[in-house]
Amino acid sequence: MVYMLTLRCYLLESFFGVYMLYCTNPKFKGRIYIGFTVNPERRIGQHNAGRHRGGAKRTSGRGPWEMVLIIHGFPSDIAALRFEWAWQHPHSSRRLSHVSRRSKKESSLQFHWRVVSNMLRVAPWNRLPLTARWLKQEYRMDFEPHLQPPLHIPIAFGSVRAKKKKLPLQSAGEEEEEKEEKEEKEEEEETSRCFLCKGLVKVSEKLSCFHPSCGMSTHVICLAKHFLKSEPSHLLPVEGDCPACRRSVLWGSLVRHKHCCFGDLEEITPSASQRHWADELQI
Amino acid sequence: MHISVVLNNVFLFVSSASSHNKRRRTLVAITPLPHYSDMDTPELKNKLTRFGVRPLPKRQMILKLKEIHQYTHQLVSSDSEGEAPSAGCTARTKHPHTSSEVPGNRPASCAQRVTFKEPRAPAAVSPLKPHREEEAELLSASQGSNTSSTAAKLCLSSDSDSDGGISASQAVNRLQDRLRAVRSLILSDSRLYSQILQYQPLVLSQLQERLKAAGIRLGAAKLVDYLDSQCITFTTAKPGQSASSRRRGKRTAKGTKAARDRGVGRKRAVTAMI
Repeated sequence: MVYMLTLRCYLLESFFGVYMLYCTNPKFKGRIYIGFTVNPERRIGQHNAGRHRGGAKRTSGRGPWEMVLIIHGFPSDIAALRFEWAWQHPHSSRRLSHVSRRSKKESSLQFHWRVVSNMLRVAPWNRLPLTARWLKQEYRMDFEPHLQPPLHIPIAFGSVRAKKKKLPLQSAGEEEEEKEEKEEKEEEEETSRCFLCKGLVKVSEKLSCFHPSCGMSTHVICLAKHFLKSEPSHLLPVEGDCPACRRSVLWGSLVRHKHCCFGDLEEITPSASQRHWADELQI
Repeated sequence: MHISVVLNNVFLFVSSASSHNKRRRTLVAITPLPHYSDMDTPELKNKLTRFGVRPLPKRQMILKLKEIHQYTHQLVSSDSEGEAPSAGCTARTKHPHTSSEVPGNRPASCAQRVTFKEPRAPAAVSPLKPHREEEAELLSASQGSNTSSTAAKLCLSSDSDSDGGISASQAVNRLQDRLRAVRSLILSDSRLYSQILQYQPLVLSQLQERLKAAGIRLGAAKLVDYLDSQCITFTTAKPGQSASSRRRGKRTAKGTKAARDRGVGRKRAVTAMI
């Protein structure tokens, strides 16, 4: 091989999800498993293939498993992992001391749904740009009336495929320089004015409205302070109206748009997946 | 004349001047420290279990018993409110000691049980309504998990004041001041605030260094409570070390992709306490 690997393409994770598996084997009576993944499609395959093919020891040989619910939109793996741990150990988590233990009439599935319903409503998760997604509609449950999630957290339905965020190609060894050069160039070429304070905005500090007809720019901090006028005791905004086009936008969406992972996933139709024929059945 | 007063678990012994002793004595905890250092291990184990604490290595048992004795026999300041001083301690002892194995849980376990009831002294309230609301929200935001400053006085958290004798409302005010200071620090540091706004996890140790440098005395437990109330993600991992890079290092049979989803080593990123 003569090729020298001087070019590297960086792939970044932008999808971080915490999922719930349901065991469909009657022998294991609706057992539940909670896990973390950056790729749900691959992960469920690993679980069902067993521990020698990347699946967890605890689920290995105890399937078949269905990934029924996934909470995604975590902005970092650390945030997702903490969520995973708390969902797995609600009675050890300091933030979930108000969540009672599973009652006799509660199935494991119902209990875990109750736990996650509670989690979405409390700090440190209730201001994160999360989505609760039922991957398998036959298992879908409603939120209890007193456990409705925060208004900015959507409930979604349908399978997803994680997209990888691609960074531009860079030469190995010259990464640092090129990266800096690129950033400088960007800043030279594209300095905009902050819609709010009218000052110059460097690309690294810029947020733009993602609606194509708007595209206004602000400093990250200027817009945050603008959004937080209605919540003065908080530091992290959740949503607000774009000062230019007045549309309601989620803070999480703005940040994702800035980091070019606005599509952290794509919906897939059942026929596109390579799995069980029964997945394709319409209900 | 001797008066014995039992205030929950705290024994106070008041002795007025007797005929042969003109010296006036103030409230003093008189029950002397038992000779824990001389007891043998089964005896220490016994004493510990009475407090709901599991058996520990001998040296640690002695230290723990001395600690407990110190906190159950504190000087009670004259202007303390009726809030039961040992409410914090009994709460703590109810908490099985195995929870201390979960790092970080112990300092706040006391605070977890007691709910904060005390209102601020009216004189201290700012006349500006929005400011007050903000402070109330600031306090309630950090109280969200039932942390209490009334328990701060006797709580075995690492950030309790060394002079121990402050009243409950003073403790609350101090905590609020410190939280305000943390908030100001974040708002004044554009790089830091920008990081938070883009959901990038903060390295806890680095933040603690910043606070220390700024002269803000806030223990880890209270800081974590505040960060949680603000939904700010943080990590106790060393800088430059992330969960994903640690996972990638632990490759198994089927290559990096399998390793990335695996549970091996991941827990460290979360420090299993929260």
